[in-house]
Amino acid sequence: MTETPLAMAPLLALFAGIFATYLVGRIDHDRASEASGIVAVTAVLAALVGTWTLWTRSLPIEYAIGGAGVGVQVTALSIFLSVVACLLGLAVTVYTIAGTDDEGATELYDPLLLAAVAGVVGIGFAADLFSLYVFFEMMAVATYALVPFAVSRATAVEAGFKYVVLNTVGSLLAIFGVSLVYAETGGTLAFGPVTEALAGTTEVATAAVLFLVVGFGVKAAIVPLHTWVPDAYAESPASASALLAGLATPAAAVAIVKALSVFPGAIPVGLLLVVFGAITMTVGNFLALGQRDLKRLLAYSSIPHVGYVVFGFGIGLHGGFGVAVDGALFHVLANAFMKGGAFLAVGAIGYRLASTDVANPRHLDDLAGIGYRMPVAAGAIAVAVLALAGVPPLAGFWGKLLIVVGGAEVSGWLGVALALLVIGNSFLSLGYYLPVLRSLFASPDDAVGSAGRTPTLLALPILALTAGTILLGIVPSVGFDLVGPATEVLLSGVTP
Amino acid sequence: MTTLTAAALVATVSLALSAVAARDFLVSILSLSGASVALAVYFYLAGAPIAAVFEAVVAAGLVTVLFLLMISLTDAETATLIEQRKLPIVGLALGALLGVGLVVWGLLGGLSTGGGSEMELAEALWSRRSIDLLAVTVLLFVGVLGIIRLTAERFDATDRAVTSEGTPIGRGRESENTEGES
Repeated sequence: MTETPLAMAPLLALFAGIFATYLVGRIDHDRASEASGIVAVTAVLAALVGTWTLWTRSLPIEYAIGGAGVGVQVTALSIFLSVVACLLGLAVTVYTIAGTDDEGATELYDPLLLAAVAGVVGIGFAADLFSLYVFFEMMAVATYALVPFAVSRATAVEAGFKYVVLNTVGSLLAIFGVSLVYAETGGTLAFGPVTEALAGTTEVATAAVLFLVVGFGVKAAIVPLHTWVPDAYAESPASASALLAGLATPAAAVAIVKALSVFPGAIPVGLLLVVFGAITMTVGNFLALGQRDLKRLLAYSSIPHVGYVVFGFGIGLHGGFGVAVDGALFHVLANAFMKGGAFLAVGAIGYRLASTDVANPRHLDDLAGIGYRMPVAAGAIAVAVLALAGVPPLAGFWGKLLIVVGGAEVSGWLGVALALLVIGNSFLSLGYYLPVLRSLFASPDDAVGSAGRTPTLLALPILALTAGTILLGIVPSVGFDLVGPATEVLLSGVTP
Repeated sequence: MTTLTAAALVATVSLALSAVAARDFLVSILSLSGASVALAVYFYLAGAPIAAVFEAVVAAGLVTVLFLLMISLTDAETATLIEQRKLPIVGLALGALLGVGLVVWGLLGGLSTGGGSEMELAEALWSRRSIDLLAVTVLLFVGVLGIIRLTAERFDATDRAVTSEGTPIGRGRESENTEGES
């Protein structure tokens, strides 16, 4: 265990970025989008460099401001979450420089994006359950404002209201779970000591587990707590949708597992997650079938992907199968590229088609042939949906494969059934992903034919995320270098 | 004490469920407030008085006011109901919540009794939970930015049935296309 102030670097870079983007957005209002966006990109890059520097050091690293009390704890899991958050955060902040999403309120939009990224980084860096909750709330509060950011649009406000109400109830239940642990352990919440303090307790600890799963599960969109997802993702600005689907929701699933890893083995935490994961992936896939609004389709399809992640974590915690946790974490990483790229591309298409006669730029029928006019955006969506379906050799394949292998490691017919469930769900998802490809590259009509090309500033992050989706599929070892040590941390109970 | 604790737990969960299930925004918000109050009572019984005070004041009080404010800015119909028919109920509910907060505060004898001075409390918080204080500072700033945005402008309640692209929702695609052409 080493102690260095460097441990605070990623968080401080993002915190500074939150205040700086607000100030720059206020001062330089004529070119606010560019100036604020560049500051945001700089902050995320600084956080990424800080994370990389920590990664090269001997982990774990701890640091508390003033040298005492609860501070941050940098483990391989922290590095993993920070890298995922910063990479997607970088793409999203570059995308916002174009100013297509901020509705003229850049000074508010960029700080909120950075706060959501900082919240996810903080979830990884949290050294105890209460800090985990605080950073979770930071992520949540930022997205509360991002979802209904287009406040002049009734549907966005309605989606935001539903999102806020459901997630606030979830937050209350989560802090209630934390308080149960606090009461049971006599005031101990730090990862490590709390595991020892909870050893031998079952009743109160079981109640705490349920509150934490349900509380954090609302944000993670675990079925039946998923009802806010389609409206929230569909009505958010494109970059906020990318951040929600690619980062916030999977990060909530990681937060659940990080919180649950402190509980004694007598509580069937893994089994609970397997059941929730199985229900979530299956119900989510059925809900996505038949959707013709591309953004809502992608929103619904986010639900089964959380299901895969939770399912993988469940199998890993239930039987100690590291390969399943590897798969779940790899899928979190891949999901950031796949979902991030897809939502940003949908946003770029919507931006271009807004100035045409296309009736509804999100409806698959109206998007027919857009692939010939906007090959970058449509190509990115095509790569993303194939990867999301688990088609090799793209990023989505490896996570699912490892989760299937993990499921098969469970002995007897149950193991076969678990593996078949994931495979069956992957095939089921083709039922709504393939029509997307068919529409994008169908014969274009006159309205779509008049659309312009993807703007360069929007194309850059979309291409980067698409390249990441392909690269992670062809060279998965890049991701496994990051995922392997994080899995060890999770399976050892987040203790140094 | 056990009965009271169990009652607080049951009340928290029941009211939270009611907050999710209620179709009336007002009932939903007041249920959520009630859940926060019950949770605050539980915090107090569990030996966390400061958390109880914060829960009662911030979650039950401030958040409720924010929700009501948001409704008044967004949902004209509900806002009218609140203003005309349900204002006394809202006033009574908020008064009751404030009362609970004051009772909890009174039971504590203020933060200074038995727990050291406010300065000692601040020092203890800073030395024990510095990262959380830093994070909450940022969180409050972010919350303020969010409120600024959410209260930035009113939308016209008559455009409720319009999607993000400006096309009507709840109608067939033929009518959407027709409106798009016109």
